Amino acid sequence: MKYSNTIIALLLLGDLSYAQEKDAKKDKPTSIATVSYDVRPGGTVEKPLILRTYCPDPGLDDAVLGNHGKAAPTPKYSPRHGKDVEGTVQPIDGIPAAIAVNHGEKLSYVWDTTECRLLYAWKGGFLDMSPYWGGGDRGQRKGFGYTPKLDGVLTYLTKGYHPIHINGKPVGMPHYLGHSRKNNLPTFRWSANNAIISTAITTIPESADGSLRVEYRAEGDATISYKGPSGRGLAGQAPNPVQIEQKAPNHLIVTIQPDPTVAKFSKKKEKEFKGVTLARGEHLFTAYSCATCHSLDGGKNHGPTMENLYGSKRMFGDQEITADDSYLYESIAEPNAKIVPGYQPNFMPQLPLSADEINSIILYLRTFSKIHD
Amino acid sequence: MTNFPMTHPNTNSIMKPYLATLLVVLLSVTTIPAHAYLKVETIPLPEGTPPEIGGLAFDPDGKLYVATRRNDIFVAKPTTDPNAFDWKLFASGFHNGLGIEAPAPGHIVVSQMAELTEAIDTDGDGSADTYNNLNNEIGLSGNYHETNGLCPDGDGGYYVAAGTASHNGPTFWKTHGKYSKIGRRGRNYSAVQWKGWVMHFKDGTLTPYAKGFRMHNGIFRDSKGRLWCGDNQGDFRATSPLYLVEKGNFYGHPSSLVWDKDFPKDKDPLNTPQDKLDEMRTHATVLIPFIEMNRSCSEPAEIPANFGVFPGQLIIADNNNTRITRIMLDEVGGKLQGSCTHFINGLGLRTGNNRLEWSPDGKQLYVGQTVRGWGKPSEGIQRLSFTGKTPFDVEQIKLTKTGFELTTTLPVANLDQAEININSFHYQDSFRYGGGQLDKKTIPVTKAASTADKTVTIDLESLQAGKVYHINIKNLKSKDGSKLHNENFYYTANQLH
Repeated sequence: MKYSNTIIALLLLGDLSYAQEKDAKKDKPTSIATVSYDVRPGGTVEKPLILRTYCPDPGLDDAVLGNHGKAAPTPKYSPRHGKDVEGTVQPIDGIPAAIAVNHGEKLSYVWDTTECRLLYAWKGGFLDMSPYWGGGDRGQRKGFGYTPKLDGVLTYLTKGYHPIHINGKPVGMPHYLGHSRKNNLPTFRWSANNAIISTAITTIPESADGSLRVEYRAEGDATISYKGPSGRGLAGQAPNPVQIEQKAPNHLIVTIQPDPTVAKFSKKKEKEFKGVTLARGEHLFTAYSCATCHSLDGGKNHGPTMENLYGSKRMFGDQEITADDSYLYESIAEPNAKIVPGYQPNFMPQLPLSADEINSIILYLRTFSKIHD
Repeated sequence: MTNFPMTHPNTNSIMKPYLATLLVVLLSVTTIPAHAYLKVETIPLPEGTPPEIGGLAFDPDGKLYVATRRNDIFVAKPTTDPNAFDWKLFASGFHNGLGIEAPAPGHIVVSQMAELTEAIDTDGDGSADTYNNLNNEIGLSGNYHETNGLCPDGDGGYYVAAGTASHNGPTFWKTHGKYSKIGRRGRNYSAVQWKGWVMHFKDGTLTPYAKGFRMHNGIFRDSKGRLWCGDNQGDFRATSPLYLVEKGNFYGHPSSLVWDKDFPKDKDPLNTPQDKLDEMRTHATVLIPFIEMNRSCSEPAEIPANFGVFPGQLIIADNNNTRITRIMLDEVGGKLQGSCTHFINGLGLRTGNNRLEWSPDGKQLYVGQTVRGWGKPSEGIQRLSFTGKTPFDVEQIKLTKTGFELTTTLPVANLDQAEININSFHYQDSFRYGGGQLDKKTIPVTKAASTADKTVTIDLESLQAGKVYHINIKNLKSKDGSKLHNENFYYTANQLH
């Protein structure tokens, strides 16, 4: 076994973002795992972490993702009424079928199996998986938008159409074949234009700035050449400076200099909320996917509906309780405190919510009730 | 132990030994009940590994491969001691690998979110170095719910069960594979290709096999070559069903139809009237009551001949409760239907039961558990084995012209007709989530008798096709004095004799 304890120990100590998590690791020695409960997983230069997951889209242009399907906003749907209702659901940013690789602090990148190309690279960290994996051992996606977050500084973001040409032509409909892990370095194999290409991505060890080295090889007598970014919407977006080494007609090395300013093209940050507001309540209700179990339209589900919940009366044993602010507060803060007859305990997770957040959710729940005190 | 009253500090020292003794007695009673015919053992993964089990597979050398949902695949040769498994990392880089097969030592096939992947250890060092994309024509919208189950086709190929997306999660703006605006509508949806389908993969080619599924989490081919999957209660699923999957059939959830070449283009499948869907669809072989039996069907499996009890019967795991359902098939009018009861209910089995895999000798059932996204986490691997003590239980239920014939595992001692109660009801699928037991009626038992050593015959005042019959038997004892292990059975009478 090449996964000796030494290597694994290096792996685990290689790239931790928080001292607190370092301590957690010491307490829980792991002999084998590359992925643990740590929501900030990582690898090292020698022993990368190869993670398949939904990946963030830090602002890739349409030409980059030309082989993807294009989603659209969709009407909100009421499962109780079996038809669309007012409002729309927006798709979110994310890359569905990519592979994220971390070589420690100096290099993380995302290579996409749909486009068969390097999409972006960053340094200083890897991925914060908490939106998707949840915190600690909860193992539960946190909300409606659950793509992991980039941890660190983006240094490269690809632009436009595929940067290489094969047999003198642009890459059309690439197909991912797989990858090998000789010497623990992933080398991606893909086909396009009747040729088979391999791509390997590394950092240049001697470069202080963490330049990327992207090596392409074509099998057989196919030829490859570097064309650089082209496509719509690239105006004003200077590509990263590159150096091209055409080693042979079928062998190409592209060295990409990092450009920390690429981050400025990345998309907007998440909205921040303060205090007790309806908007915050609605945001949280959506973010934690409360409607997975609590319908808004009276429909039956794993938990009671929110329709006309506020102000309603319910029996617990022989005690009648009004679903008022304090009842709802308790039910959110301690989901098992009172289980409505006909429903199961332990279904609802205890969410890490502040008092302001719980009160905001209660404000939001009031909007679904026509019952007034 | 929250039921114990708090003891006064002064009495604490006196009470302690008594409480400790009581605790030991209680624990021994609750963990190994006298009637237990199954032993449950818990098998830990390496410490610190989130043991969210997506899949389990034995290779021909008897090594167990375990796919964890976050990324990694571990391998170990099972040991008698459940704590002595020497786990090694075999492969990594799997996004929600919810199906795994090991066709050869050092060679696995995994259905993960974005593709069907083969990982091979070509240099024999114990870890995979070559990863091949066998097929990625099943799309991926970015929804969290689009997981894929896997089973062999018996001829070098595979069946893949592609679950639908949930409206409780979005799609990405950019999807892997083409996007359908119509398919995106509804509760559980099919915005990208083949969600809600069973697909057949062979010799590099992926072909549509059957459609109309919602969340058929787990697919299984039995020893007779029949293909089975469950599904999850929800929209167009009034309760948990068990389906016999046959080529070309439609199983009732409309969203998948958007990818059917025979379904009118640009027509929204959700607008199909329910009576039309009912007419088009293939009935569940067995309808499994949601609360009483199985809240969330996951992988089916077949009890091996040498396990020791219920040979050849199907079981199907409950992802939402501490139980596994046993299926008793019956053939009526040339078609399979049948009944269900508990195979195991509690006995130390955790919830989250997601995948079932028998050890190569057929003596032990490995259960992979995960509940990510559902309630309290319950994760890991447990192993069930037969204690050798045959339970007094109903082994088979056959429909007769006038009622039911039950075969028991042990000879019946007493039978009181008044202790047998039968209800009938039916389910109606609809766009609404789930559905109740409709038109519930008591069906009078006209005669019930033990007609042979291990046979109970029940005659009913009436029988009606399309009903589920709830058979409740109280206070039945075997000749050796055992109480009946299960008292409730549900027979799905799609057809009558």
